[in-house]
Amino acid sequence: MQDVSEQLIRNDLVDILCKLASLEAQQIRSEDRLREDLGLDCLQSMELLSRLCDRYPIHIEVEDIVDVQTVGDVVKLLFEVVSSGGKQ
Amino acid sequence: MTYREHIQARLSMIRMLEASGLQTYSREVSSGCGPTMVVEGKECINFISNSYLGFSIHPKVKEAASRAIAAYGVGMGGSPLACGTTSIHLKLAERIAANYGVEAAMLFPSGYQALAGSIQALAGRGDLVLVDARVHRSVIDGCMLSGAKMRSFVHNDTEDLDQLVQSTSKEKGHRMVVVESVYSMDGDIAPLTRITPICRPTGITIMIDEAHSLGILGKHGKGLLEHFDTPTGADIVCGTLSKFAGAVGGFAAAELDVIRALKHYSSPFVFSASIPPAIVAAAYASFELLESEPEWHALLWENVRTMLDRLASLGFDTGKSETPVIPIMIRDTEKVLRMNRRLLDLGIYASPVVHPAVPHKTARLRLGVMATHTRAHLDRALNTFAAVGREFELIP
Repeated sequence: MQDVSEQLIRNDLVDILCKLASLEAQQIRSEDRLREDLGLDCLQSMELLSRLCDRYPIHIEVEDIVDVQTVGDVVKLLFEVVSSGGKQ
Repeated sequence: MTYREHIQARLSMIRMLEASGLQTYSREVSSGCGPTMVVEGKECINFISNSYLGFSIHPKVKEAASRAIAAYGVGMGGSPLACGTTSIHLKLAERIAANYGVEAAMLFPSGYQALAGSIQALAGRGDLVLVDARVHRSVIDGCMLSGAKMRSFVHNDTEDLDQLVQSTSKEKGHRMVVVESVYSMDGDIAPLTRITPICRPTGITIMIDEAHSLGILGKHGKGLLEHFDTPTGADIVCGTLSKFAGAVGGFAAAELDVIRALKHYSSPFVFSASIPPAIVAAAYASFELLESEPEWHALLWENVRTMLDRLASLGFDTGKSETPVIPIMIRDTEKVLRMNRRLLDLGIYASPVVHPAVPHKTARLRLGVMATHTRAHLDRALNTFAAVGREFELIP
């Protein structure tokens, strides 16, 4: 799991966001806020978390993502979790 | 955050809306729910209600309700498990079961409670509920009450559902898929004939919400199963009596064992007073009207076709609607609110729908077409939509 790069995580995240929120990859920037800029609602945010946990063998609690606001924040958190062995 | 701070945080957005003068929610209505309504003293054409067939003010429905009041009074003073199950409650439940060709049905005080209460009782910790991303809030609340895990698939995207079903195949508990027959803000229809082949081989339970389709879809208005001619396409059918019957209340229909379980484990059913007899009688009369006066169903669809065709020819985007629920896509929250305010001033009462009720940047006006709208109502409304649409640079 240590070999997973931030870029790979970002690509996967963008892929899921495109599907869930009907967006084009080029529309998504690191500084975009999930709710305000990309328009994710609660259900989509929960599904985003579930799909990331499906893709990587990790476990993240909903409480851990309360402060996560932007695409960049998600990538950073995910990279930290993956690098530390899968658990926050 | 203190209690006061919590309240103030909730009020900040509401205050902003009120200060703008664009807030049109909860206006005072002083007439029945007909094709026109008196809103704050002014007669408007009604495009805001879900009483698509207009039965809430039909003389036979009102007469049935009056007779029930004369026989039973205004309430039964108890839950359905106590003294709240009268002969007419049983008769209506039988009628609903017959409509769907299943063994049994039961009544809930509202459609919200029917959905939330059925999921709460039929799923539990360790189970998984797969929901369309645009299901009603009652489905989400039902999942939370049940303790089951919830996952969502992209709206009406059966490929995404299929992938979700495959990726969750190792779940230990049972799985359930929940979809709305007609989506309340989009007016599009769940692709049930593509959903069942995904669910049936893996034993996934299918629940459909018939809130906006009972009385509407199908040759005789029997709903989604009749529309697709797939009588066994769903395991549990929930719905409401507030749309087609123009009353209030909800129901669940399924095989007898499921209904027996629900009657003892669904908290919203067990811990609520039963629907008043007058409402039950009104709903039953609405079912009778569907059969005895099929012209209302035909008129509704004639009006739906007229509205969809003429809105499109004016240049409006009505999304994927193919039912009496017609969105006029505007995609700008402030413009929707301003346009709705203008329409109300011109005698058109519609519903502005903005995020988070609908996805980001898909703000819209939502129209509910009625069977009782006359050609004159539709002509006047369409002329007004055209004028306001041009004023707001939505159409050429």
